[in-house]
Amino acid sequence: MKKDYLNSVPAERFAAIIPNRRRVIESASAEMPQYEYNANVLARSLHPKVQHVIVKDIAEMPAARLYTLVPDQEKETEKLAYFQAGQYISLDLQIGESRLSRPYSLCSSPSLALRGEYQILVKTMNNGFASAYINENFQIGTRIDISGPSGFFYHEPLRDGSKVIGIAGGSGIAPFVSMAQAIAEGIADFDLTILYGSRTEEEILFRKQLDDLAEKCERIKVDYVLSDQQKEGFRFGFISSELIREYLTDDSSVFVCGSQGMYDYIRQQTQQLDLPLRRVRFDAYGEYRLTGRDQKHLDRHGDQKYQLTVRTNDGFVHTILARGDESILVALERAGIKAPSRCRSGECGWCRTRLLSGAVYTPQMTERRRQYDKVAGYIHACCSFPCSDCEITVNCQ
Amino acid sequence: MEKYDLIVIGAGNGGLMTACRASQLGLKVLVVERHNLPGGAASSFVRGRFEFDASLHEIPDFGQGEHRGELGRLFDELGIKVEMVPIKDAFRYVVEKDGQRSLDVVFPHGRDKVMKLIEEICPEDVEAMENSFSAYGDMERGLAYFGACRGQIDPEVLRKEHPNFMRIMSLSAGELFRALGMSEKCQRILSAYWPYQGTDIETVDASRYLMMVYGYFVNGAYVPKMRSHSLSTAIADRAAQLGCRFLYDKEVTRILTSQGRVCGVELDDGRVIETRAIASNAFPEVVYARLLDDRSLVPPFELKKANARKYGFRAFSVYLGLDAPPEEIGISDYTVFISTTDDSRLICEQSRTRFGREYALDVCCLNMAVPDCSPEGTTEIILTISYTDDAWADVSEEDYVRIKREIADQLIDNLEKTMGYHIREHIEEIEIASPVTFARYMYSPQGSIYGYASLKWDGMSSRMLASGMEQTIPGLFFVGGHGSSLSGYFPTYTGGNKAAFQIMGYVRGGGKR
Ligand SMILES: Cc1cc2nc3c(=O)[nH]c(=O)nc-3n(C[C@H](O)[C@H](O)[C@H](O)COP(=O)(O)OP(=O)(O)OC[C@H]3O[C@@H](n4cnc5c(N)ncnc54)[C@H](O)[C@@H]3O)c2cc1C
Repeated sequence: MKKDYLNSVPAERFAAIIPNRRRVIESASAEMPQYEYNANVLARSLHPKVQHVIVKDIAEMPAARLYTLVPDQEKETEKLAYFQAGQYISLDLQIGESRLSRPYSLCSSPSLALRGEYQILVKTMNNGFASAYINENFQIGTRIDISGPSGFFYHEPLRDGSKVIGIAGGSGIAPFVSMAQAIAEGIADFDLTILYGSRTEEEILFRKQLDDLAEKCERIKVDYVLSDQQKEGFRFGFISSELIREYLTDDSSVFVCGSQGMYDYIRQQTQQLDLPLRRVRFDAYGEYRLTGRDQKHLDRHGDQKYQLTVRTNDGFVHTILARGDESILVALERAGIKAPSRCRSGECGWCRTRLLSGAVYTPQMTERRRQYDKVAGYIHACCSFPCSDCEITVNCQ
Repeated sequence: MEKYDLIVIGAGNGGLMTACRASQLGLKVLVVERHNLPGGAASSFVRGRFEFDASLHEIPDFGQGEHRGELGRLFDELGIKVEMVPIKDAFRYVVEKDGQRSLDVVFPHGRDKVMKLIEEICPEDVEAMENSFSAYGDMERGLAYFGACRGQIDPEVLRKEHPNFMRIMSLSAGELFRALGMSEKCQRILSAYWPYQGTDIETVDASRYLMMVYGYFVNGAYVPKMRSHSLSTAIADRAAQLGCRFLYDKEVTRILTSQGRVCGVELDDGRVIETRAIASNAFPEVVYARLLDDRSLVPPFELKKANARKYGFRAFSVYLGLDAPPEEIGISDYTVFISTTDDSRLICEQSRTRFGREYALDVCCLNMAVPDCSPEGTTEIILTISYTDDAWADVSEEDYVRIKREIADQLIDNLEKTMGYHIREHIEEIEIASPVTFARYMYSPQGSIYGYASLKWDGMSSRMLASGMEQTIPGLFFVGGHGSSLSGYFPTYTGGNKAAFQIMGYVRGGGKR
């Protein structure tokens, strides 16, 4: 090999490297350096770890309440994070012994957040545990901790059609109310036709607000669909493929928010329409419940109780019971262990934990784990149902 | 009261590797990480049916079998098991402006193949190229000597046995190429890799350029089969097996000192934990100006150094999940560098603002190395551009998403135009990461992804020679992209490994340096 290929370069240069370095450094200021810039400040204000808020106002709605939340200045939350219409926040709750979280879509306009307010709609669900608690106990002045805005259920012009068919069931109207306001205010740029399913006319939420928005802004349309009541001016039945087809164009995307049962039904309808996956987007489940699709697990483990050993990463070991028909997350919450969680649908990964031993079942509809996590034994506690005694690690909160 | 030998702040590559090695050396180690999983930039995220790597395109020096490289051997030695996949070609380089293509070349891996290509496209550069490979060899030997004597170099040995190493250490990449007598054309082709170096070819050290680019040419490049998340998780799991404790979802809010040396940390939940040493994956200025309880302890030289430095690239990436296979999209390469000019200085200059007229776009398609990384009939690609300044300084909360989209839109446009890919009609998932996103996940000032810029006075050569000489507060060590090994997977892993030995020396020596 040749050795003289660099002889043109004077070897003394080497000796100058350190003196050069010192010279530059010595000529700089010895002040405390700046460590935070706009990108850092923005990152924090867009994605706060927690927002402390107070209930400022409560409006009654059919079997539901609309809460207006404002920053809790005393707890040093100065402002609320901006968000994209369609996103949700997760509420931290303590109900009796249980520590739990519940996601709620923001139904107010993003612009209201800049003025320091969020609104969320809480419908009292049949056998609802958290929703009933909230609607019975929250008052003006109640203090709560919520997460930063989360989720991917928003219009992304680079991906979605410019004409959105929004399919809402019951309280699933909430994100669309936010989207409609954003459109009317010129913050969002797409046409929105809402197909809003309720059982009866009385149960329709945000009726006046939706009608006003549709009146004011021609990009917004609302079609009410009643399943249990035949009435003039309303569609009757379910939101079928035929109804969707009426509004479908080459430039349409279908957005769906409602109950798990409705998702199954709508999925069949959009399959009949031959829509590619990219044209149909579902909001997070909020809480996945085992159904007929999961019958095999239910048959074997549904009525079982397993022992769950929980190692928190700050050194504690708890032994609790976990039901085969409830997620590991719910078992933790029942036991008062404050485990991290947000979407409760498998997609955000906040509740990722390590399964040290035992077996769990993950419904295919909620499988959103990273590939390596599946082989390395990590689970999303919110969508993992025990099939045996288990041992897990949890990041304590 | 718990007491540790070492607390690692942040579970990025540097922090993880330090923690793993220190645990293996028998130290009692705790890692505190703000996020709920390890990795920092070395992580992945799932959107619908796709899983995207947040940062990793390729790693040098992993190697397989008898060609096991330095990094591969480090993983073996520590018992970290990750499935890695080789990448076929180094890169394709397309230079095109206003529809005029001036260059389109695919660089292979493997010295012989590279030489064959040079014979074809730059026949007059064969000798210069051969010599550049010799330079790589001399560089490697020099580094090996450096590593072996742990900083205690004998100037006589260096002069006698490593004269070319000394010369290379003093040059920029551009200077080296010219000293080798390389033609303008060949230099420009070789400069394609500059975006991975964090600065233009005239500024970046020849040492760094050789180690990375020739490292790729000679030993090939690798990606993990299951994203960088598999690397991070495997290292963390192995460290845990070796006794290391991890606190996720916790932030270090204060570094405590006593009698002039570090002695503990305070967490965001108010807990105080004692330790003998701290390895910080957080930047020095964050430690000095925000975390440290007693700022008067910082040596003025360290403050000056922090002020003298510039940040490495801040990235902007668009992650696309497409609902058609690569051949239908038109993709046939793993990495394509698309540039409007082959003058890296010009692009560096133009990259100070959010979207300049001249740009360099890096397109990476994981399916070309790991065909089943996404479901059958789909493709995932990542488009990346880099900023050389604080280009997002004026963006507000309200405008943030709109601006992100505008730039992503332009990038997709340019990509479709230059390469003829069919992208728009196939976008099933899209995520856009800006310097703000990287600031969120790495906590780095301005969202720098590459620590400090590799400036002439602060490049690999200078940092390497200075390491060990520049001391900060006793017990405090810096690991990661801002450390003395520079940024990137290879440097942060190997740098973290080295730091663990220094830390062991400090701890076992009863706090002496
Ligand atoms: C888009 C992109 C593409 C890239 N491509 C490549 C490539 O192809 N090849 C390559 O080699 N490199 C590449 N890189 C660079 C590489 O990812 C980085 O250099 C490397 O990951 C940096 O590691 P680090 O050790 O500096 O840690 P970082 O990733 O910076 O992690 C720091 C960690 O510390 C935590 N932390 C900070 N402060 C605190 C605190 N006070 N308390 C608790 N935790 C804290 C943070 O949460 C974070 O997890 C790329 C990077 C990006 C962003």
